[in-house]
Amino acid sequence: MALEDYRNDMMRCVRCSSCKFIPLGSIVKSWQFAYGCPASKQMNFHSYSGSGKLIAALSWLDGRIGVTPELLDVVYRCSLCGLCDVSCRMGTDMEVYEILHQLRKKLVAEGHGPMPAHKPVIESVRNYDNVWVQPRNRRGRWAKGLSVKDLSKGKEKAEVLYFVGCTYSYASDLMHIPRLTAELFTRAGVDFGILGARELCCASPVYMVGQQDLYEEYAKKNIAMFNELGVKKVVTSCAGCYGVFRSKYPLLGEDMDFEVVHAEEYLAELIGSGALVPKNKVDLSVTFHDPCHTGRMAEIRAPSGGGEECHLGCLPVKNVEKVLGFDGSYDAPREILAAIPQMKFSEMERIREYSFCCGSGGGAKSAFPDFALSAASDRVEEAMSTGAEALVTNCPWCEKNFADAVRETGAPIRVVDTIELLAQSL
Amino acid sequence: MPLSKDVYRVFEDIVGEKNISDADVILDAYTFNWLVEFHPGCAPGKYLQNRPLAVILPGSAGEVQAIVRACNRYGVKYKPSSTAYGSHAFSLQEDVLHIDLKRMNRIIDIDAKNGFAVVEPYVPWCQLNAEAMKVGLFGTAHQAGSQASALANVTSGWGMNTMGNHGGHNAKNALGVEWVLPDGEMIRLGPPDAWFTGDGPGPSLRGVMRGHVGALGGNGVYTKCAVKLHHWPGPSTIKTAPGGVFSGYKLAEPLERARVYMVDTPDYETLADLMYALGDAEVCYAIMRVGGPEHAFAILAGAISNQTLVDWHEAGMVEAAANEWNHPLIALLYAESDREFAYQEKVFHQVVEECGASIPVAVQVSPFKDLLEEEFAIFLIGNDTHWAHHGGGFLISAGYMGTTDSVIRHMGYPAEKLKMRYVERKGILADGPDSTYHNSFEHNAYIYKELEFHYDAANAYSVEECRRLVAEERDTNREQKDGFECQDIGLCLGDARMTIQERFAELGPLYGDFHIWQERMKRAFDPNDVADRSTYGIGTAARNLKV
Ligand SMILES: Cc1cc2nc3c(=O)[nH]c(=O)nc-3n(C[C@H](O)[C@H](O)[C@@H](O)COP(=O)(O)OP(=O)(O)OC[C@H]3O[C@@H](n4cnc5c(N)ncnc54)[C@H](O)[C@@H]3O)c2cc1C
Ligand code: SF4
Ligand code: SF4
Repeated sequence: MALEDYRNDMMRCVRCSSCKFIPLGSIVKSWQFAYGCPASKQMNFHSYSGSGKLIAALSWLDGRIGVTPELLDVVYRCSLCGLCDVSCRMGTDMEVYEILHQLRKKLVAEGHGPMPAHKPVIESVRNYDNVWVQPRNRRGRWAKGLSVKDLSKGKEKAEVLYFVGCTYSYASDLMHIPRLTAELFTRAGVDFGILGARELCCASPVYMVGQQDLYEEYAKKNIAMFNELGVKKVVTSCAGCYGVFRSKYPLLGEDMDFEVVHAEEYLAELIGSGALVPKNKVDLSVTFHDPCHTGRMAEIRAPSGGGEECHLGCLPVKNVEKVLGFDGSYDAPREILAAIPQMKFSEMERIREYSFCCGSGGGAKSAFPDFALSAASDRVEEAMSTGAEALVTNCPWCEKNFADAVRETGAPIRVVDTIELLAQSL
Repeated sequence: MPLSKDVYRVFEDIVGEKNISDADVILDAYTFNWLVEFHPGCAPGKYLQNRPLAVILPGSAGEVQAIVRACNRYGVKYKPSSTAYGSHAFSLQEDVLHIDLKRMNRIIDIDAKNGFAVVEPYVPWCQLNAEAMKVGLFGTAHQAGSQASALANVTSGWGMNTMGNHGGHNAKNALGVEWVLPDGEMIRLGPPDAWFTGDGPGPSLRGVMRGHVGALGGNGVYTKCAVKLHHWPGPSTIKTAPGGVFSGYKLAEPLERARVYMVDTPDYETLADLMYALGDAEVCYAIMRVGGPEHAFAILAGAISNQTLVDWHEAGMVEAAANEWNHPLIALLYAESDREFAYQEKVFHQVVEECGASIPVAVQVSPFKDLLEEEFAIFLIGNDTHWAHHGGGFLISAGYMGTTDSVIRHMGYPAEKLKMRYVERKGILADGPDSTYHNSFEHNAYIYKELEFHYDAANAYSVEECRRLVAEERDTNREQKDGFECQDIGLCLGDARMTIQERFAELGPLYGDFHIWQERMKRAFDPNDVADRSTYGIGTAARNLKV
């Protein structure tokens, strides 16, 4: 599959600008929060929208433009959040996300990408199996003192693999999240284990910047390892890991003998079955941010590779089923929050499949921190507009980026992980 | 000739380094657009032959004025755009500075009492109406979609909308306007301290500003505009849920005192009668047509997928509907009170019956029933249209504006016959003869109607067929000299064999020599000839004319 395969879709863009906004069918609820594309919100030239990138891709394919710093800026100043794909596909069969990704892949394959800031991340994965340039043997440090099974040596077995991910494993300010999660699993009697130092990067960050060879290498290694462990479920806390396991690994065509579950989906089930009963009141008003990678980007978008047939005269019909982002994991965090006594919950305007990205994905946080911060500040404002005291989410990247925005803007709101609130109420 | 470094710096000094670019990747996004393939020399690609010199993003009316003044000083042509949906938003001329108004995106004020909002160019209808609904008002969003600019539509181009039966054509919904004239002078239409009207003091300039079709960026830049808003009987926000057929979403709960009907008429004569009767009765909030059953199903399938349309055909649904209904009309009843709603319902049914129209059985079962009950109101509000681009484009023939009777009765069949010949040749979507889209204005006293046909922008044969179809239609039209306003005056495209100026010169004598008047205004208001000429004024074709 290559960028060239999607030429027809590029030609079919009508430049309507729908991809700049949340889907119109869902009815925009205010002037302030109508935009869906963080790149278009920050950068005003049309080129930065999903449509603009399609045009750029076509221009490059046609030899109208060369690879310049401006092209790279257009392509990578984007969190690859997929909102443009959802908004466009509310009315078309076009594969906008796939084109954006293929464009990055081609730039990398031809030696033009990714951005300089991404290279250390890629090298870190290659050399240390994680994105944070940290030694392998410190990966399991977060679990120090907890009594959890170590599945890495093949001696212990469990039904569930708790896959923590690079960021929760190494970021000292976030490590309490996997610890709390593991404690909750233990409390509910879940038969689970971890991989400790043997856990590898999920390779989502390298996939996102277009480094396909490395992505495939790590994805295949992970699939093989999960199969070998014989676990029924791979449960992850990180939105990035969840999104790539659930929606991208299956496209590699390898057998996957396990189910991918977000920790919050698992915990919501445990609450539903009565295995966990939130009892303590948490007197807090909150709102929830749907990360792209637990939401629309966790849905499998089978790429057509350009395969289509003509029907009814000249109607192009694709060889794949179209998805609209509805099949993300949206309910579990809301169910958890609803189960916490006395918690007041209000929705933001841009939610679920048309959630507004925090701005840190797709390598944007490392390459374009100003862009990431501008998107996060926009989202923090939206959270504030609900009157919430806390912005709750379940992705380490979003949490870090929101925390930066709150620090930068001085916004009087806390950034909290769903798990922290659940743990408080138990 | 590219902008010299010095002149580039003049513009850069006005807006700042970040807000001007002449990088190829930026310029190409202002060169590629829908409908470009129907300009001479462009097909089968969608790139215009000329890139702009640079794209500039002013952030205020003052900056626009400074840019226009600099254009006059240095002899640089300019073209403004708001959301820029369609080739008309770009210049067809060489060496033009493109002014993208995206940074001017504020709603300055909503005057709920007097029913208008003052907006900047890059406020799309979706943003405006989201705020207007909160105060019980609604703007007449046009069918290009609510992601398109309200200001551009009311001041600069077209104005057909689904609420026109009571809200009027959008040419009438422009009130006070702040206008940077082609030479850089800034004026206000209407009193200097109020926005409620665009007339006076002194002679009104609204006609000069807007005309009927709009100056399409050829007559300076409108930097603010008061847009008339109309009553909104609905809630302040609409709650939606996933799962709709048409837009992917449906109403989470039914709208109170609202109902959408699809009524069928056996022929165009009955349809015209029904339009007048409904107009007289004043019971509809919105009225529109999406053509006969095959076209309606094609549009319906848009959000789901093109495959869905094929499935529906294979399941016999489309054929069954086509056997039952002919020329349907869609109407939204929406009332402020239960009593008013009961009245609307009663009168509506009576009018339908008296006119010999009916409600087809096919619309009383899924998927049409669900669509009408759960989704159509969203569609009318959202006005999302990119679903209409099954293969990346549609084009129109027989686009006419005129009295309801004359346009409906006379304009349908010949164009449909022509279209069906092209359907047989498999160059355009097979969606039946009646793929008419229409809006009506002033209690349905006059309408805008177009026959849409869908093509595949990525398929050179399909694009070529469209070009041939339109050329053939224009030839017939030319012979008939039928006296109706052809929409290609406004769309400025279609017959790819000739330039817009040539087409203006040809059509002008049929329509009161509008081309000469336009050229006169152009010369009076734009002494340095820097405002874009691609869709305004007949330019070089005027050399042999006395203007
Ligand atoms: C699919 C489709 C369906 C459509 N259906 C309808 C319809 O039902 N009814 C209807 O009325 N129109 C319709 N149109 C035309 C539509 O009105 C125009 O495309 C336009 O008004 C949409 O807004 P825009 O912001 O994209 O305008 P733009 O494309 O940005 O501008 C429209 C024109 O106005 C000029 N212009 C824009 N802003 C300014 C400004 N501030 N000052 C001076 N000149 C300016 C531009 O140069 C351009 O020529 C349709 C278009 C499409 C693509
Ligand atoms: S990518 Fe889709 S939504 Fe965006 S302008 Fe193109 S057709 Fe419209
Ligand atoms: S992926 Fe997200 S940031 Fe990138 S263009 Fe699409 S909507 Fe914008």
